[in-house]
Amino acid sequence: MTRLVIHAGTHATDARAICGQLASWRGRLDTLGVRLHPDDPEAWADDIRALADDEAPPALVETAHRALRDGKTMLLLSSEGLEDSLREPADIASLGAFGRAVGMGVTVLCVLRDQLGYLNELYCDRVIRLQTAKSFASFAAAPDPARRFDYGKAFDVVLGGDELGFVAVPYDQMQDGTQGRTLLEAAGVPSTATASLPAGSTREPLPGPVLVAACRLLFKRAWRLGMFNRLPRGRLLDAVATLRRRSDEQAWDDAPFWGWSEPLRQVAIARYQPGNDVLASALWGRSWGESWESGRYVDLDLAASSSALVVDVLLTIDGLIKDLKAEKTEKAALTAENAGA
Amino acid sequence: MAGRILIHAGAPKTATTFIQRGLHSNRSVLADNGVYLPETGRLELEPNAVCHHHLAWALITPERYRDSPNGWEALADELAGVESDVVILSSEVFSRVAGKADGAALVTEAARRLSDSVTVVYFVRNQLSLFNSLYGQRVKSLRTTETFDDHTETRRSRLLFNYEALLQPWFTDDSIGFVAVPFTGERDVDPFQALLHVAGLDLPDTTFEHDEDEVNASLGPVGVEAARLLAAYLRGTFADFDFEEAAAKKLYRLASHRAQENGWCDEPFWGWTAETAQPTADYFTESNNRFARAVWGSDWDIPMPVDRETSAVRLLDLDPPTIEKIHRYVFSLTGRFSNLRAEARAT
Repeated sequence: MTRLVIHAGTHATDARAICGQLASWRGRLDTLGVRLHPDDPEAWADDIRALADDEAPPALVETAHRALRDGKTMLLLSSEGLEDSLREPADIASLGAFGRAVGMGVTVLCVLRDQLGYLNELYCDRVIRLQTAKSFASFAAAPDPARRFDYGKAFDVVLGGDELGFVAVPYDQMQDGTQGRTLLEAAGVPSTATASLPAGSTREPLPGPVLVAACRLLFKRAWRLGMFNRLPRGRLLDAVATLRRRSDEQAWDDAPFWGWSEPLRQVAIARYQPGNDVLASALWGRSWGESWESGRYVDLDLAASSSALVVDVLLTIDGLIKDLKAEKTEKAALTAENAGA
Repeated sequence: MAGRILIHAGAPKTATTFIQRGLHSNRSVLADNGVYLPETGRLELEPNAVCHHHLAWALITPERYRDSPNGWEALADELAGVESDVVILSSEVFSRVAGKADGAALVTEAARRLSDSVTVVYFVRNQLSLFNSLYGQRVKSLRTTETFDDHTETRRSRLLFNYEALLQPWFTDDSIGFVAVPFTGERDVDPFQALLHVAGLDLPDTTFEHDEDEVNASLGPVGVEAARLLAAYLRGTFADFDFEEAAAKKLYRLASHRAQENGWCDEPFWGWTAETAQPTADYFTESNNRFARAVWGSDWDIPMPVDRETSAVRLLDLDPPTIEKIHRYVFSLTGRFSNLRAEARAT
C-alpha cells in the first residue's frame, strides 16, 4: 500500500531547507521506498497547490501511478503553501479525492512552531519582501491571517474530518541541516533508515534589527515617492538585495532580529498558551508546556545607533532611492513617448 | 555698594527665556520702577534677552568664554555708578554652578561682595516635566541622540533634580534671602510677574509687553525624532562635530525654525510612560517633601503628572510622508551645516 504524505509547512518552519534536503536525498529515498515529486523543489509548490484546487497536474498523477506500480511505500510531496488549505473543507476534500483517485490514503504532515518564533520570522520575511513596514509590535498584535495562529482552532477542520490523517512534529525537535530526517521519521520511515541521510540545506539566517529597520525605511520612502505603483516589484526587491549586501559587507548586525520584548512576549504567551495546550493534548497527549522560543530583544532606535551606522544606512537607502527615481522618471518618459506615438 | 541684588538662578526650563526676554522688552518700565538690569555678563547670542550667563560661567569655567573672566569685577564697576532699588541678574546657568561642589557658595560670595542684600530666586518644577523639557531642549540643540528612557535613567541622580540637595546651601544660608517659586507650567501664574513680585514690584499685567517666543518653541514628538536623527547624521558625517561650535549653534536655530515650519512643534512631547513615570516620581517624593517643608513649611504639593499619556513616537513608525520630510530635513540641514562651517572658518 502506498501512502500519499503531504508536508504542508507550516510557514516559517524551514520548509525551503526541508525541500532542499529531500531533493538532495532523492536517490537514497527512492531506495527506502519514498518517492518524491519528479521536478526540482522550485516547481513543487504550484503543482501541489493545484491538488487542493482539484486540478491535479498530469505529471503528478503519473508520478503517483508510477509510485504505486513501483511498490513504493510513500509518495512524499511538500509545499508550505498548503498550510492555509488545512482550514478549508473544500481543499481538504480535494486532497482526499486525489488520494482516492490514485488509490492512496493521504496523511498531512506539519511542523508546528510556537507563535513567538513563527511571528518573528514571518515579520522578518514580510519586511524583507517589502510587504509591510509596520512595527513588530503592531504586526504581532494583529497577525494576518489571524486564524493561522490560534492553534486551538487552526487545525479543527483537518483534525475533525476523516478525509486525511494528520501528523505534527514540534519545530523545536528539528536540528538545522537534518530537518528532513525528523520529518521522514514522523511520516513513518524508521530512524535506522534515515540515519544514513547526510546533512543538507540549512535554514536561511534571519535578518538583523538594522537590516529590518533599513528595509522599513526603504519601504516608506519608496511608498511615498510612488514607486510601488510605477516600478516592477522585482526592481524594489533588487534594492533590498543591495541593502542586504551592504549589511553583510559592513556588518550592520551582530544578531538576528527578535521583536519580542519581555512584556510583549508575556502577553503573547498568555494569548496563545490555552489554544496550544488544546492542540498539544489532541496531538501528543500532553500540554504545550514551556516550549516558547526566546531571543535577544534589540529595541533598535536608529538615531541612538552609532553615528557611522546611521550615515551608512541613510546614504545607502538614499542611493537606492535615487536610482529608483531615475528609473521611474525614465519609465514615465517612455510611457509618455509611447502614448504620443 | 549696590542696592538689593536679586539672582534669578533657574531652574532651566522654567520659562527662563520668557522671563529674560520680558526683562529686555520691559527694560524702560522696569528702570522707571527702580530695577536695574546690568549690561555686564550678558550673552551676546541673545541680544533681545537679559541673561547673564557669562557671570555664571565666570565662576566655573572662566577660560571657556571670552567675556567671562573678570565679569564680576566689571559688574562691580558698572554698579558703582548705579542708584536703583534692585539689581536683577538672571541666568539659569547659576543652577549649574550650584550643582558643582561648593558652587552655590561661589554665587553667594560673588554677589555679597556687591551688596549686603542678596536674594536668590529659584523656580521649582516637578521633576517629570523638568526631565521631559530638558530632554527636548538637549535634542533640539543637537546635544544628544539618546532615547528619552536612556537619557532620563542616566541623569536621575543628578543634583539638578534633587532640590533639597541642590538648593540647601542657599535656603540654609542666613546671610542671603531665598525664594522658591512653584512653577507649574500653566500660565495661571505668570513667571515674569512672579519674579518681579519677589523684587518688590507688583504692577498690573497690562504694564508689560512680551514678544512672541519663536526660537524657543519646544519640539513635538516628530520634531524630537527628526532632530535626533539629524544630530546622529551630523556626528557620523563630521567626525569632529561639536554642538557648541558656532556653526552648530546657528544650525540649531535654523533646524528649530524648520521644525516649526513643518508643524513639528505643534504637539507637545511627553516621553514618560506609565511604567517609567511613577517610579521616578516616587524616587523624588521624600527629598521633595523635605525641601518643601524647609522652604514653604508644608509638604510638596506641585502635581507630578504621572498619569499623563506618552506622546513619544518611533521614527520608523511614522507615516511615509513624514519619513520623507524628515529625510529632507536631515540631508538639507547637513548640507547647510557644511556651508555654515566653511563660512565660520573663513571669517
